[in-house]
Amino acid sequence: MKNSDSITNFLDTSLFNIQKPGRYVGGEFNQVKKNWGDSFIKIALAFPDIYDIGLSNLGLTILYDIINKRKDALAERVYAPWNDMEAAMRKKEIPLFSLESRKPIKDFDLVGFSIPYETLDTNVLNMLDLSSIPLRAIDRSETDPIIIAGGHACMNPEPMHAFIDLFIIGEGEEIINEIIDILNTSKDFSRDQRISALSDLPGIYAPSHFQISYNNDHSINGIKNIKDESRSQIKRRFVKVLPPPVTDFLVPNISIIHERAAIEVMRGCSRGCRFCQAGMITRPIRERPVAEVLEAVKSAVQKTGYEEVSLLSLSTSDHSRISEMLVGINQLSSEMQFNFSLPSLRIETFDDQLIETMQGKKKGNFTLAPEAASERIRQSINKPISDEDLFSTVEKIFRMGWKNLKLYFMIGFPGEELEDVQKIIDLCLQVNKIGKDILRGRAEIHVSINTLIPKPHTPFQWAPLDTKENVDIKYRLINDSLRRSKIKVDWPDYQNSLFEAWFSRGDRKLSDVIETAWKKGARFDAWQDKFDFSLWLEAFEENGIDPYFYSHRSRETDEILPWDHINIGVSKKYLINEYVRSTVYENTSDCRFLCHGCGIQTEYGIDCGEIRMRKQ
Amino acid sequence: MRLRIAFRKNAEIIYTSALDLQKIWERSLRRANLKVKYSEGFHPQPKIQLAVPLPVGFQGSNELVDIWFNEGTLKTDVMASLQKNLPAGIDLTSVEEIPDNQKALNGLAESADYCVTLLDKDLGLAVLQASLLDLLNKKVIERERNKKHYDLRPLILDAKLINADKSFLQIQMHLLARSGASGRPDEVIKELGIDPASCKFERTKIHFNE
Repeated sequence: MKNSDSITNFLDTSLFNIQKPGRYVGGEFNQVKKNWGDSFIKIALAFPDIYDIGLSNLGLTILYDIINKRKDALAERVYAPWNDMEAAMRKKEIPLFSLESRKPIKDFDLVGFSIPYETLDTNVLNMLDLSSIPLRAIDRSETDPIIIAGGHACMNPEPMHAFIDLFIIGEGEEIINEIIDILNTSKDFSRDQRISALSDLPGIYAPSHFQISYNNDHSINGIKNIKDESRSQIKRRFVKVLPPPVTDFLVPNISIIHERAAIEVMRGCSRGCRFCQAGMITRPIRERPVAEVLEAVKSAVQKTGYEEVSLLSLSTSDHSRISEMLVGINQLSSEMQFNFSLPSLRIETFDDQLIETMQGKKKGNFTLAPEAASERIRQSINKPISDEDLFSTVEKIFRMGWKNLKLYFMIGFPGEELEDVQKIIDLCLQVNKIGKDILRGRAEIHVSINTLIPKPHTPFQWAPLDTKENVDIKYRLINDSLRRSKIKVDWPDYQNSLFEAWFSRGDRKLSDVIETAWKKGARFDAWQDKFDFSLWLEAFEENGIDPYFYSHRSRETDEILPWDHINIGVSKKYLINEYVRSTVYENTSDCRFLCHGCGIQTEYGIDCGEIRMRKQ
Repeated sequence: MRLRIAFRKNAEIIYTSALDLQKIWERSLRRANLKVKYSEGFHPQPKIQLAVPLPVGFQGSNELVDIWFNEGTLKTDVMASLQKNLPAGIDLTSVEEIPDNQKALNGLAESADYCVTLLDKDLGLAVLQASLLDLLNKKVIERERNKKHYDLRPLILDAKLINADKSFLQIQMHLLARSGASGRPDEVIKELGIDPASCKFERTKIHFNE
């Protein structure tokens, strides 16, 4: 086994020829490095993409902070090495190592992967392999760390079930402490006993404890917990009270994608857009008190020196004290000289006061996400904005001096017709006209179109992915019509949509496909220039699986879905009802004002209103 | 108030480029709560001027940066609070006040001294001595870097093999470091037929014109 000295020696003699070597040496300001020793439970936090993307991942940042604040545990980080580094490591037989202590990942007690999206799956396998940890949970032995995974892509854990010992379903802030407590009291246990003890925690899913049976048509016949029949579902965890935000972010010594302090102002969303998985799996809403947000912003700027702060949430303008918060942040921003950004503003909440607070800001891109343009589809997806609101917001944005406006739309909704797509075109042309009138031709409109991926745990989970033929016709229509007006349009490759649909909606059989694809060289599938679709088709073929079974089949609402044993707290009854309502263009209003009985309150025995706002 | 800070850039942070180092100064100053002056214009930037950029992968034992602080800033405060807020690998060694109107460090740089440690122990002293001599006797050393042809020879002012460190051979080089005419020690190393990945590079001094 290689030790940290030989890893250091490797780095000293290899990094000269590696791109951006700063990715592999750590040493960031605010990095925590404890003395490696037996007194700690050692956890490697792994992000399955390169450092440049992984460092700013908020989930891992939070866990790093919580674990390292404990006296009995340490957390170190590891990211996926880029191709050149992977080749150098394999050539010199250097195992994947942590940045802080340069210890082989295999030497940790626990390895926690954050998997926010499916295109990172093969990188997880690659990182396990580089660590000399058997890919499949079933092949691991006493000397292997326990491999856990969490993040939004794990809300359907099945495609990755073979490679992960335990999944964390839901939020990690509390459960990470429970995990460490159990690891502390189970040091004499065998690895299997430790896994078993951990799997008793609420929110922990051990795939090996579940047995899946199939029908002849490949759909699922039954899902059974063979260890504990009474626990037929794993219920998602969430924290009732958000702990104060992390403020001592690691500040990189090299350029990365997001160099900023990210302060989460609210978790959850009450709007209930039917295509949005995040809105379903992060319920209920929890707002942070304004004073706590302001304190965190101030502290984060002091502790990091960052010149930019980003206020995060699914819908920042829905925070009940947003104006008060923005006044405070504006004041801090001029006192302490930092910029702040507010992603995720809802069009209809864009009142004069909100705009007022943004008056002095640096004018970069402004992004709005109408998602749909026809009245019919807006009702169907439950994002009912009015054209009047949109146009008046756009007008205000241009009048304030923003020149670049980005508009997000989706196509491929169930029941969508070409006339609905035509409405997107009309709307963009109208927005373009407003911009040209106000800015005399200097307005730039950028339209970004996405294809709906009907995601698990959403009302659209039973719907098929739109066909390539349809999607092509729709994109061509949009592109041809808007290009004439010099509006920039971009849309995803259909192959990427297929991939996302297959691996977000798939079942256990896809583990074999992922392994085959990885063996054929699949890595970094989120990178357009690395993604090789043909290789994935081969992997399906070799395993005798028809991928279109997962993407293009309309499912009956009584079919057992691969993720049915993952209980996110929103009831199936509610999702079915929402699906039905979408077909008759019925709106479901913002649930802050009227509860629609999604199931969260009864499932967890809580009162959403109480949880939403803490005393300020 | 223009302060010239001398610092070491040590092994921990050699993979940070000159551009990224600029950001590190800005953020460290902000963390240290030291107020600096900003440039005029549409996009005011903190007035921080690094001397000659140090290539990625190089240590520097005598690097310089000029920073314009608000009047009344104490040199001792700068040393103490800035040091605490720098990432590991940057050590401040001295600070002195400089007339505000003096030319920028970058424009004054003339040449630099480097010390290259050869980690490959199989390299023989005598052979290396000979090839170094060969190199220096050449009139022209044509090389290509970033798809541009150039002559390395006039950029080398001096280079000698030393055996001071008992365990490794070292080459001391004195190379031109003017903007537009700057020699890289790794290019000299490559010309000697040695893999730069097996060397440690350190810039020991930058020479400036008066």
